[in-house]
Amino acid sequence: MPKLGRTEWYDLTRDMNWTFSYVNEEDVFPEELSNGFGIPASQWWRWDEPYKISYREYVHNQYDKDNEVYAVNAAIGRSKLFDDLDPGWRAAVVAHYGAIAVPEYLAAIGESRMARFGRAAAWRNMATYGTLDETRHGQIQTFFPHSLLEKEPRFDWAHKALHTNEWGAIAARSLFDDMFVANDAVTTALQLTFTFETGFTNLQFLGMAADAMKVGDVGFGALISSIQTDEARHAQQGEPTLRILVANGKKDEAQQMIDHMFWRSWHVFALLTGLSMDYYTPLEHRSHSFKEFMQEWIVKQFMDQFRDFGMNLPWYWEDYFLKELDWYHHAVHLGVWYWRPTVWWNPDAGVSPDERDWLEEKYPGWNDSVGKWWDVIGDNVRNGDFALTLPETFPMVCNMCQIPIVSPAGFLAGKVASPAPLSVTRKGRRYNFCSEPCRWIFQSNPERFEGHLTIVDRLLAGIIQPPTVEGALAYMGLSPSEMGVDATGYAWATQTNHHSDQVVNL
Amino acid sequence: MDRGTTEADLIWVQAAALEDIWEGDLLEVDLDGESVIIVHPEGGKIKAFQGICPHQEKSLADGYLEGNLLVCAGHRWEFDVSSGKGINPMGCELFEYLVRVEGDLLFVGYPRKAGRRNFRFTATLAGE
Amino acid sequence: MSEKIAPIRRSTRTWSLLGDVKKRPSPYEVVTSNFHYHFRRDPVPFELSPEAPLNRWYLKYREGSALQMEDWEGFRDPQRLTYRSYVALQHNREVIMDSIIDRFEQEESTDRLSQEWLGVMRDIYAPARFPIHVLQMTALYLGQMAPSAFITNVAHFQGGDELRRVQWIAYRCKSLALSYGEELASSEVARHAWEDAPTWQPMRKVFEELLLAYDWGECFVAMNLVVKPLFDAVFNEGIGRAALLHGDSLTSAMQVELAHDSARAREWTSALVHYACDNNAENREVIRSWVEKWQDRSRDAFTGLAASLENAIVPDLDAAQQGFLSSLGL
Repeated sequence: MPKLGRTEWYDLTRDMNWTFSYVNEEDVFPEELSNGFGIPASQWWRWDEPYKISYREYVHNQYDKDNEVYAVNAAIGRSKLFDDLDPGWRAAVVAHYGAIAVPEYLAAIGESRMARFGRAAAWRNMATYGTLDETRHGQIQTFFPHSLLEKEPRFDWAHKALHTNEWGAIAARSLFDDMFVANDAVTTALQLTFTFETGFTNLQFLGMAADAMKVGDVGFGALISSIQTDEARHAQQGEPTLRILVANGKKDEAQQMIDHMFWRSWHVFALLTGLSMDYYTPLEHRSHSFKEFMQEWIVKQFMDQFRDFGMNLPWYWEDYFLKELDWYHHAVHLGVWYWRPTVWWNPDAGVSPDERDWLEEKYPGWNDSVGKWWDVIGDNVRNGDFALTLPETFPMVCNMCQIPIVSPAGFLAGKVASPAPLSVTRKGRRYNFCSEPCRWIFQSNPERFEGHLTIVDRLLAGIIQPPTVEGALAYMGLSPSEMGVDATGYAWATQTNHHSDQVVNL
Repeated sequence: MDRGTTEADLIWVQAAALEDIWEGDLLEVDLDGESVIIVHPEGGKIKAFQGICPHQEKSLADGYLEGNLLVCAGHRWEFDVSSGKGINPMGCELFEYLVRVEGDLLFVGYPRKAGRRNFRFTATLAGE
Repeated sequence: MSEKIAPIRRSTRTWSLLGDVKKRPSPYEVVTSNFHYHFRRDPVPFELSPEAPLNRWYLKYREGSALQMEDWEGFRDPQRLTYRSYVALQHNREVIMDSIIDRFEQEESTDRLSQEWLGVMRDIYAPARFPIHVLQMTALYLGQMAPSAFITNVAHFQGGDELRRVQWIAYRCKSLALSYGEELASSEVARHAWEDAPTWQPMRKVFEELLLAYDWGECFVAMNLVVKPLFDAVFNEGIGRAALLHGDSLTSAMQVELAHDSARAREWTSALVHYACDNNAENREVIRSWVEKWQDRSRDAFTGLAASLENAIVPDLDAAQQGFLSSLGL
């Protein structure tokens, strides 16, 4: 082993900034790729990351980590483990891979953007590891589902989801393009690494890893825990970047970037993690509700982080965010299940009598709000009126988060003031929004978003032909065998409650 | 602990039996609502520290102990349990509790008037 | 009654986007094919306003490059590197580097290097981490702009290789500094040379300008066909040989080890040039014109730097460059 430890020489690789003489700094760091907010170069050079690693340590560690996780995968592939997994859990895993695998690969592009356009050498070096890390995460999360394709053909969506115009894929692209694929390096550091990775990916990865182990999906659990250990390096790019912005009088700009991306992340994770935790994970294996996870990992974590950095909580925290924790993902779940042919996984209704008891316990009032819709759906299923449980029309879709507008459910739950969508008219076009924060994000930076068409806008504009449900499904890239169906064949509608032996009245 | 702290300022709590904490062991206990880890490095002294990582408040008990090196399972932050100081990142530190052995019982003590018993650590700027 | 025999549905073997492939794709293809959904996406690459800055940037510098190909997905890195195999490869290389350093550190006496050589290490070797950092930045730019993950990934790995090289320079500078004086490991001294020393200025101009080669095709050509091969010839080979002549066996052995990364870069560079030209003859002229543009900018700068390695066997840069280019038919 070399006699000098990393700490003895490492600073020489960080203190590598210089003043350009033959080109202009603003051409090396153009604003669209690196918004410096007018902060002088020498201030950026103070960028310092807490956790350090050498290339040598990196390849040695990562070599071992990859060997471990691929060994688990190989063992799983030979076993019957996957065949025996609960159908709801399968839905969670299929949804996860479609929404996360290729975006993780895309994050390599967000990282290489910071590795080129980050405004300090130390930052660019850390982002270089981040580029490699995210390449790992994209490849490992496509390789694993690929090896299970024969057991689960829907894993094809791990690879193709983002190539399609399926509405959830559009929502994922819209979020991730805004956050890092099509973002500047400085904003990416705050929005991807500070806002998204330190909070929301913990939720999906550590939370889902814990659930996976309980469910017995050792392969998935080992995979995503291994991924999470990489975050120590690259997720820390946000903190020093934020320190520099705040130290140079750009706190308001930083606050705006964080508030913007916290809200957008919340909506997509409510869709992805919220449904998985509260409806798809088998009841006996749920440790916490999604809301409890949010409170522990996001609410507390963010409040501590905001306090550490002298930032304010987002303006919508009390009035919108905390309130949505009680109802938003329940409404989205209802919509996803109802429009199930439009998603690539098989949504598990997750509303058997026992599961409803659990939902009512975790979310008091559930039965009196979304539960009422499920009552009707359950009756239709039991009466054999399946057509009534399937969509004939399209919902309105939010022009910011690209998720169907579900505010009527929030209104019914007493959490929002009006069931009507919010709107903005700009340059003669009307944009609709699901919530005040989504509208605020649009209005704060309309040039970034205007002109974009939601899937429903595309239908109305004649881009989707024929403009019918069938035409839309084809546009979304869903073949009949891929359209989602109820995960358990409606078993939930005829199950009895385990607490009382009373048979549900058919 | 601040200088000038006397025995009277400390609260001692029985935390474990000695036989529960072998050399190489890492044990988490709840002390007055705070998570505390007790570590017994091989050939070293038993020590007690804050039980959650200064990084993102993951439980350090999920990590592993190898000699004096404690590694958090969340994101592989590293600490030297002989001092409680961060190895990577440097500059961070775990809050250390006092420990006392009486017979075959282990007691952990903390200052009655202590402020935060869980240090956090975030980035600072070069030159700060 | 007649019954049609329903075809048994063939189980899904690979990604549907790979089309009707008749063989199982390699792990390399499974985790690399068809990842850049945003390339030539209709109407714009990204799910934002069509006028959003990065939509315009990618349309201009990627889709709009003069380097054009119907299908970039057909390119294959000769080493077929995935993250996993890259890390395994470099793990092995670092094991070798560890053993090189172990061996020489045990043997190395601390007072036998000449002042003349230490001067070269201070003035040329130590500041070289600045241009290598530019190569790192540029490789990572190329990666984010490339039209296919088959190109993106090797470019990103190349960026990792440059970081490796910067770190071993830092290591060596520090180990020398412990025996021969702190200025060998002083960032101020190295930066001063890079910013002000006359030998470095023509070079610094080339490297600063390289940062502005925003068209992805030009970026690839400027870096991997002109600037990097010339730089590697001076730095890996020139310094390596000079080190040997001056009794600095460790530096020499380290340079030989680092040259493996450079050789790998040349390998995929050659493959991409062949792929681009074989499938679209017009690309040859496009590449040639960029090569000429960057050669004109670089030639004197590199010759000047190489000449400062006095007494060393300076590589014949013109010959090295022309050999490489003519092997590619350029």
